[in-house]
Amino acid sequence: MAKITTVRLLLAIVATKNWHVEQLHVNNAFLHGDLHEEVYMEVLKGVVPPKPGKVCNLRKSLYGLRQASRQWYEKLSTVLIVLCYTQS
Amino acid sequence: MILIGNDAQGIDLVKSQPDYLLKVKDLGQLKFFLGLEVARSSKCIFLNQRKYTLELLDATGLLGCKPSTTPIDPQIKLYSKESHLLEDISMYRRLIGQLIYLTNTRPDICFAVNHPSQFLSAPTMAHYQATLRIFRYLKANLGLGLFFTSDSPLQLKGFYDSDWASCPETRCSVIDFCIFLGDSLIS
Repeated sequence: MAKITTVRLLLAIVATKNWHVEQLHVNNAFLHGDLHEEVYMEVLKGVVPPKPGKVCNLRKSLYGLRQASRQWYEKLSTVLIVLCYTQS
Repeated sequence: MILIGNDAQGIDLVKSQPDYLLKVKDLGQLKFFLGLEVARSSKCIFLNQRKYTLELLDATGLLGCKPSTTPIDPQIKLYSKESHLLEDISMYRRLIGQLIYLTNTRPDICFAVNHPSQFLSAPTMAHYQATLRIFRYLKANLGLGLFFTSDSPLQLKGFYDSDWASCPETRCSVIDFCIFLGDSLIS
């Protein structure tokens, strides 16, 4: 995770070098993360489970989970590494 | 996510790449990032958190407070146990947390925020008053921020100052520093 000091430093360099600065937004970022742990969730209201007394087994990360931000970070780094970027 | 580079085509390429792996939306020029407003011209970049400050003042109900010209009383020394504890400690901690985030573009309130943030475990009315003073100062200076000019040299400069044994409880010195890249304040 980038420190805010790094962001400031980069922007200061951008100003002197006249570089381009652009921004991307990842839709529903936290939903991309894969879960390695077994996490269960109660069936939401309005959804009828096939059998009563069943719960959902999560396969992807959800907002509000403890590991959501970590799993998203892991997903982003692997995607970038697949695209042949190197991590500093 | 911010992309920075000197090659416009290269940036376009990078932007199109993750598209098939993650759903992304191109937001164009960097304008607003985690509460930081970024204004760009050919001569400079200006960073501030005006909107964040306004929302903060609004949420705390301090929009109507009396503005103050300084963030902290220069004579003040805060002590850990001088009066009764605050009833709503989590509110105090929340305020300090929000102010600490504001120091990203407001180095002028850095010390004023740091001082009351040393008493998060047992805040008293005096600490709370000092915190409110910062809000009153913010109200008087909403749009201040960091200014990165384009004709600044790429030279690192560091400054520091220390106040010998000035903490009344531990007799420790108070030290602070700032680092510039050319004319731009970084840390």
